[in-house]
Amino acid sequence: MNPMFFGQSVSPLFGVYHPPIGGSFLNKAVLVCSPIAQEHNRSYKPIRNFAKLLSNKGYHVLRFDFSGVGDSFGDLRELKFTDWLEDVSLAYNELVDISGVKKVSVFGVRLGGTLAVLSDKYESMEKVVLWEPIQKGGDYVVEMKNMHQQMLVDEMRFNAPRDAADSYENEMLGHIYNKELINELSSVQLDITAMHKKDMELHSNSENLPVSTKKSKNKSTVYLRYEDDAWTDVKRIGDMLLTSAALTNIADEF
Amino acid sequence: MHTKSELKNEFGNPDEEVYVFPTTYPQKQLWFLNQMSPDSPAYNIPFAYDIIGILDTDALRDAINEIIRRHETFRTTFSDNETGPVQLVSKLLKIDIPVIDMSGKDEAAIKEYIHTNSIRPFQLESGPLIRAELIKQDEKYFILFLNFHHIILDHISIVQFAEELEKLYGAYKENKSTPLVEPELQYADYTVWQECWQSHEKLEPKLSFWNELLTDRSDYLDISTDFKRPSIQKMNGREYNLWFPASLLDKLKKLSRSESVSMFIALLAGFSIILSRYTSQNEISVGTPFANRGIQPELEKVMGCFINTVPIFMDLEGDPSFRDVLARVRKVVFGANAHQEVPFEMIVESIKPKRETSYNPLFQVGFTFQEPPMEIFLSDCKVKSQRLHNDAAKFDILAWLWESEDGIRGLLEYSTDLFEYETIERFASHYQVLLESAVEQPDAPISQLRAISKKERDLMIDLWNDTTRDFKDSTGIHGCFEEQVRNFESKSAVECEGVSLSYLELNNRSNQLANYLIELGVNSGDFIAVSLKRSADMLVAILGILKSGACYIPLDPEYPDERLFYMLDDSGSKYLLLQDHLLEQYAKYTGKKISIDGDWNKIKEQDITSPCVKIKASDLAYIIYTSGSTGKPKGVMVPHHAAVNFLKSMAVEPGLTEQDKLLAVTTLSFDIAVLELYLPLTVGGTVVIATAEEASDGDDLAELITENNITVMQATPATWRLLFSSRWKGNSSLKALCGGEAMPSDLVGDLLVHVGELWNMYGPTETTVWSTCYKVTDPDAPILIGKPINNTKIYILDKHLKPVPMGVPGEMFIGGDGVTSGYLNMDELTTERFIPNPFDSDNRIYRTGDIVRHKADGNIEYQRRVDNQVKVRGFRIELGEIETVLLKQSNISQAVVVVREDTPGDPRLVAYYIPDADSSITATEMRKSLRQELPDYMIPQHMVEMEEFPLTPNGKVDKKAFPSPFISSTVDNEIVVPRDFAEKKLAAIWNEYLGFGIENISIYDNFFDRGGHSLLSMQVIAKIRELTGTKLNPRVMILSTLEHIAPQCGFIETQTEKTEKSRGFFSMLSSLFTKK
Repeated sequence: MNPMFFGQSVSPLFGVYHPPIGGSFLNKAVLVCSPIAQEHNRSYKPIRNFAKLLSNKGYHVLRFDFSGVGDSFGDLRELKFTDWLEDVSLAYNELVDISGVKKVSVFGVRLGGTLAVLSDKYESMEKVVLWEPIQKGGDYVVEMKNMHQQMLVDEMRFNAPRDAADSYENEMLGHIYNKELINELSSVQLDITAMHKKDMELHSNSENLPVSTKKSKNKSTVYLRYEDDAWTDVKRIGDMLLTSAALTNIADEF
Repeated sequence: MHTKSELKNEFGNPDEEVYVFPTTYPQKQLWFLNQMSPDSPAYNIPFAYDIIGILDTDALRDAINEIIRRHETFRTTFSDNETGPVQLVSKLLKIDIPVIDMSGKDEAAIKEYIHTNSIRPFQLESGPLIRAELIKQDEKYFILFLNFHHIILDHISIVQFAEELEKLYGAYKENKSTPLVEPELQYADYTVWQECWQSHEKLEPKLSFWNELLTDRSDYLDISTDFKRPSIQKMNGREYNLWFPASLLDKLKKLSRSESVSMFIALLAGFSIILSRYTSQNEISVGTPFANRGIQPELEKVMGCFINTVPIFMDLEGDPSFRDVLARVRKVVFGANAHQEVPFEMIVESIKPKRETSYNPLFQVGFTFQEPPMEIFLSDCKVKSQRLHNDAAKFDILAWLWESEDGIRGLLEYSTDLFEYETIERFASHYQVLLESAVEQPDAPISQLRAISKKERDLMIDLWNDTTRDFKDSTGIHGCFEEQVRNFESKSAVECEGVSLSYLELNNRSNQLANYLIELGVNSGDFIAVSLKRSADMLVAILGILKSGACYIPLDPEYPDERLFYMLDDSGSKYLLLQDHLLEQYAKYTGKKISIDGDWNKIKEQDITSPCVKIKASDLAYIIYTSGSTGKPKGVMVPHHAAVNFLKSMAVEPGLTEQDKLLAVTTLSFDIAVLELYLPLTVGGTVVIATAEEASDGDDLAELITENNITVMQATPATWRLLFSSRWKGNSSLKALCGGEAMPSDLVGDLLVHVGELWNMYGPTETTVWSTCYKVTDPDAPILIGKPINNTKIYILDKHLKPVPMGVPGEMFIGGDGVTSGYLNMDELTTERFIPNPFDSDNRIYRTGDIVRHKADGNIEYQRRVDNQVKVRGFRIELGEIETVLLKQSNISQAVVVVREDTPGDPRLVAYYIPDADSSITATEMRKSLRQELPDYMIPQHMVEMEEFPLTPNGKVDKKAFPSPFISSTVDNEIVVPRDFAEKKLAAIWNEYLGFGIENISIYDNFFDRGGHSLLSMQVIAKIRELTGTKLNPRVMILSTLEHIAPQCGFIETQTEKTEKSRGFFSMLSSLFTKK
């Protein structure tokens, strides 16, 4: 694999490129758009494993951190929503350059998926698979704020409940945003059914993950909420989400 | 010097049967080699003698056993201990010399028997290391068979053996006592003396000579082989008998005398020159044995292995004359002679060349000029020696020559793992011709000396280039198409995305376009750029341009604008044929734009009859731009006659008929598209054009092949791999053409299974698409590029434009009808690359930059490039062009671009760069900048920032030492300390001998890479054997890492050791609770 900084040198993004094991003969590539902030922590390892899984199957894979997240440059206190949309374009182009594959597929997790669809690269994408994308930004922000509040009083977390005033302004779950960004997040609306990709397939609330029976290059898949409240359950805030079974299924989508 | 009595005191009881002595350096080396390959007969020295007459067999037996008694070396076996291998000398040894009755057996059976015994391995630990048999054919005809292991004697000893045998036999036959005096010294005496004398202080000045001579020199002779060099030397070999006539001997003697050199030097000089011709190297290292007895005169009569083979390093720089070479060789031989006492193994330890298991260090070829193998004389018998060989080769090639009555006789012992017999036969012939030429012209530069006979020259230059075929004249590419229109009017000519045009329709449309162009003012010879999305219109466009008498210049709309406009500017194209959707892209173009779809309403008003513009064969058909090393692409001007010759030749072989349907997948900007688009139209076939998207998708390609009943497809290896990665199951009626870059060997097997016929195609754009082709049928055979196509000539020449000997790599030059008109607006480059044909002054040949060689049947085998040009996914790329553009960036101070193939078959462009101080730039930004000038396929996929570039000892950038752009999951340079008992135990042993601290030994370490050498490895192996009883093969130490060797050593943790360990653990644990 190849950890690297790419994009603009003044504020580069951090990504990890996984070359196709055995050579690039499949001529396929997948960009992984990870979640942000706290959800980034909770999905880091599964996403890394997913990238390796696809790489072993002969795919080029690039996973990256959005600006202000992980090892990428940038500060949530200064970022705009459009910066993240730009990040998707940068990462998409980077993977095209490295792999030589003209049309890249995308796997987007949570807000990463939403950003992928809203970016100007969406129409170019070969195939899109989304895992529990954020459809209503307002609900998402409210959920994060609620979780933040719950954690302040969680006795498993602190010896004594913290006062809300102890938090930074615009802090949610340990990450400090700027007000405009929170407003922009709140106004995000993603109408899955109106997405222009052909043969959009939706899966939700099923105990048994669906098995892809037919590979179609035009089919895109959205996995809606699988485990209710998993992302918003404070008690599970330390859990890694995305199971191996889920990842294997998702890999098959490509 | 120690005497034997002193030795007995030092090493053992004088009354014991076996004495133990250290071994000499040559013996240590031979022991090591034997441990690596215990069954190898490589160091057997067999002899056979036909004895005719009355033979006293008892006298002969007694004589041989008396020699054994007299000389301890024959009573020696070997073993090893912690200090390494040792000699075990038995006080007494008498060998059985049986008489094998083979009366009545035929010659073949006897030969086979002798041969089997010649190659029977010796057991160095049990001995005896001398064998003798008498093979009886009748009462007056015996064959004496003798076999020795080299570890106990050398050539001088063998001669002495023969002398003593003669004298002893003569005496015993007469019932007399031995006439020989008892030897004063034995080999063991020499061994002990050598140990003292060769302590480093005494040897240091002599060792310095070798260090100075050999450090930082390349020690690899890159001689082309017939077979791939095995990763581990197998040492299988054979001999070729060589003879140079007396006339040559006389001339050589005369020249040698006049230059005060010996015949040895004269022949060695010739040998080094012919090796230089074979390798294109000017520094040649040849191993030569020295007797190594001169330091002590009393050693002259001692039998044993004294010989020391050292490198003779010859420098042929500056194209000296043969006379000069003689002087140079004399100087180096004298130097080697004066320092011959330094054992070869010590030189290797000191120089520390990179150790490879596939070839010998310091030299891979050997040369010796000495008397023939021992002749023996037995009174009252006529004795004639048979030449035996042990089926082994110690070097790649060993030349053993001697003077005989009828000239120079000799043997070329060669590795059959590397060479075929015919190759060595040719080598001998080339050597002879070179010597003949040298004595004729001793003052001429050696580059002017002949090395090939007239017969060979005529074969390569004339016979193999006799490719003349009289193709019916056609008026250009479009003329070839028009010839077919009459016969196939209604047949589909071209299909793409559901659109199909018959021959008549295509002809009519292209005529209309041609007439339209003429009406616009296009004249014969004008350049018209064409930039189109792939479609049936593409053929209408091109044929229309050609019919108008103009020349087309393809522009791929995917290229960066700067490159496109450079090509438009450079060509001075006044017209641009494109489609509506590209109008915006070319908005800045100031010439006349013609949109084939947008202007079609006007175009279709034109007459459908051909404008019948007369063209000459030399008129240009198209100009293709290829990568240029100076940073700008260069336009290759291809005339009609070249393209027509190419097409007509392709119709014959690989062959295409009106039954065929060809799938065209290649961009118009790549000249191989000429075959795909036009060839079917010249024979009445059909061309199916894949769109750009379909051509990059394996599933789509598979579908196109199946649904359109495709019978022919041409593609680069990358595209074939793409097809295999899809669900395509193959098609036994498909004729597959593969070209654009070297066909990978792993792809051959896949292709042969999936298609009906497979052809390997080769050719530079400068000689019109393909110049050779080869039908591939055997996945295991070398992949050749074949023979020249019709009306094409191939010359394989050295840097002086002389034909290289057959089988020797040289640069390929191509002549004939395919040679194009050169580079547009680049007269100087044209003159440099298109040179007068040295064999036909009326014509030119093109210098390809490809290194190839002839096989014995006239087929050609590709070797490598001379320069920085590479092929990636079929695209020709000058790495220098990318580097030039990279360096234009203000914040990069140095840049090198290489092609890496970390996964076989998956080449990647990687740019290594050093940024300016205090500047930072991402790969993204660099690519963006590159993209302004370079097409996509030339953009490096990976960029690696470095602080400095690795350099060779000569100060050049060492491209092979660049790091991989990827981090592997097992990090090779990380130290992982030994984890379990076995690994720790082994690490401790290594540390004893390597001595740099056990904490610095990683499980990924290789013993030799960490500074070990063969002799040290033997000591490690002996130590392990002492501890566990397990004997490791030395190969394991060379090839494996600590983690792989440890489990094989047989280390078992004892209970005591476990207890000690657990005591340690509990002690640690308890200390945690007792700490305050």
